[in-house]
Amino acid sequence: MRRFLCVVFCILAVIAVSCATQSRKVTRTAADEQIDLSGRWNDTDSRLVAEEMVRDVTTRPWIDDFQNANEGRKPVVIVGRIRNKSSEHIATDVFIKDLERELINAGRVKFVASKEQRAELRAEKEDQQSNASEETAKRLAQETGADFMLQGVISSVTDAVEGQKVVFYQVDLELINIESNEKVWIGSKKIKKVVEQAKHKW
Amino acid sequence: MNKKGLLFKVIFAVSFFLLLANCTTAKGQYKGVDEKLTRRDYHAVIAQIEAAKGKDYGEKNRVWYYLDLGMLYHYAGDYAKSNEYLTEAENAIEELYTESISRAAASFVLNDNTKEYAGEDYEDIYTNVFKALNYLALGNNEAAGVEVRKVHVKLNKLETKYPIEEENVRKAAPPLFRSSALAHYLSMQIYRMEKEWDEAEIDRKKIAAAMRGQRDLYIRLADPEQAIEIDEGALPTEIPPDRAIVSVVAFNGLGPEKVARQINVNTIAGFLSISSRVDDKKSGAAAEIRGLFHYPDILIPIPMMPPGYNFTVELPEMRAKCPAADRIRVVVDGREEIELFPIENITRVAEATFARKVASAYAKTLLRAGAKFAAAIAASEAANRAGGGLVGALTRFGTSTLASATEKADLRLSYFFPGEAYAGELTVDPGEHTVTITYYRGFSEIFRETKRITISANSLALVEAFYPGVQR
Repeated sequence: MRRFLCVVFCILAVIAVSCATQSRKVTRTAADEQIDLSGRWNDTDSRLVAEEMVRDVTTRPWIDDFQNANEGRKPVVIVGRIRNKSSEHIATDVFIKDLERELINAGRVKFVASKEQRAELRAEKEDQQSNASEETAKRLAQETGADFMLQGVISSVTDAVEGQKVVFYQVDLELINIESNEKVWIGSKKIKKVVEQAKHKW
Repeated sequence: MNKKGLLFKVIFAVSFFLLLANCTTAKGQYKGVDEKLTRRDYHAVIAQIEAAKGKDYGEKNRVWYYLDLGMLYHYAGDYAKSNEYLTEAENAIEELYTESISRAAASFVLNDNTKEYAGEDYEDIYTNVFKALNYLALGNNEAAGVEVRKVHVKLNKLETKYPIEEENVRKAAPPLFRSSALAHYLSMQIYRMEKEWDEAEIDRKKIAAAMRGQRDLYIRLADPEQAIEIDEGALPTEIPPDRAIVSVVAFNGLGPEKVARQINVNTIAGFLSISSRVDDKKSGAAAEIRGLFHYPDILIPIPMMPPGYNFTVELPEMRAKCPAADRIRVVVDGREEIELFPIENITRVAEATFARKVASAYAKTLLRAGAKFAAAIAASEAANRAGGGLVGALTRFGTSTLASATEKADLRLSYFFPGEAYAGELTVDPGEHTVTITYYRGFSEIFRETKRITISANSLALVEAFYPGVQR
């Protein structure tokens, strides 16, 4: 009888624990909190690289040189292609957005829309020529041309054995004068991560 | 304890464990699939596999399920969906590096079918090759490049995955797969599409280096004595500015399957007899392979060995499926033609990577089986002494059957990876073209596929073909 009661109690305990344990839990956290889950490139990497690179590019002499040669006007910058040559799928559009945000907030350069955005804006302006009132329709051929384009590449080197890997990311960016093709700034940021995975679990 | 009580307990225990012994690899989901594949009715096969999700796959075989569906959607031309499934498979393989202790413990008692299937090394590697092909078909060269780089990372990891310390053992071990000519070929095409000629040239050299440095892996399935080599002159690096390149990758046959090699152990008074055979259900009966291969009959004298015990252990082996075609030709616009060269023997890679892994698995299986058989003999002898002839005989039968029934080989393997890859290219004028890919066996045409493409100047179009036919 005692043995039987013991077995029943154990079964009930297992059922109780199973019911009490939630399979999923959600916790709200700050958007800029650093959280690394898989070891892959994430939003923290994108944000940190963008902040540091833009801080570097906006403190270099090319801005003063440009302003001295152009009656003090701010240089106009556009972000071009950031190529992914790493061994991970990286959302380069997120990284580009981070760069654009940092550039605008730095206040030392002017910033114009990207190629895709310009295409949409031009279509809107064309439409306005036919459909909007003369007073409100925006003029064609009045775009601000960019002076400089920011281009770059993200690459990685992975060294891995069973259960452990070291991933080294390098982000290289260049600022190029669109008219003269002159490279006025080159920046590089490196990130290294060690990812360990346990061989066994309960 | 009385004889009746002991008899009841023996029958109950054997029945209970025989239920557990349903830890075998079921492959019912592949019934009739070859005929549908040959008819190129991929959606019918997809429906069949999806219907088997709960029954023949189950949660512990999700990698197997995702790989099968991923490959089928690729052949069906739904590249986005193929990538979804292949990515699920890839992520699950990575997660399953961490083994559950409880499942590992169960596999020490029963067999490896209790463990979650984490994919074979070649499946893990070629998942990224096919993801690269998917991205190329979707026009995303950059993502395709990422997948090819993942192949190289995985191959680097494979070098240290099964270390062999003893030099003599290392020399005799199966060849190590270090570099994929097919992955370098795809990488070369990606760099050419991006006009990065220097990088493309590096990959071109690596294709040849892969074949020359891994001759045991680069052999023709149709003729294993013949090494695969590349005519480097047939692959110019740059694309002429006023012309275009049609590059063809053609997959031939299906990848290998796993079969069970049965090791039969019989006891005769004072002797232990060991023989082996491959369980070939397709032939209708088990094929006896006595003394023909490297598993000859063995008779070991063991004093006091009780007679009348029969046990069977199953060990998994890879078996190649020889493709039906041995030549592939490409004709563009009915005029210009080339014969494709074999660029990768995927089956041979599967066999070699499996052979490197399997030694420790075999040791574990034989240790586990030995422990079960020793326990079975001990239990039977004890039952014989306690309960007499009938109880002893029943116990001997029950424990032998039980031990053999639980020693089933893990035969899980995705079905739809191809066996071989061929490649080749022609330089054409920009514009619209008809590309016909024909598979031959000797001089007989066995399959033909035609595709229409439009290609601009100074660019490259990658055309893919697949014929799954295998020799029966």
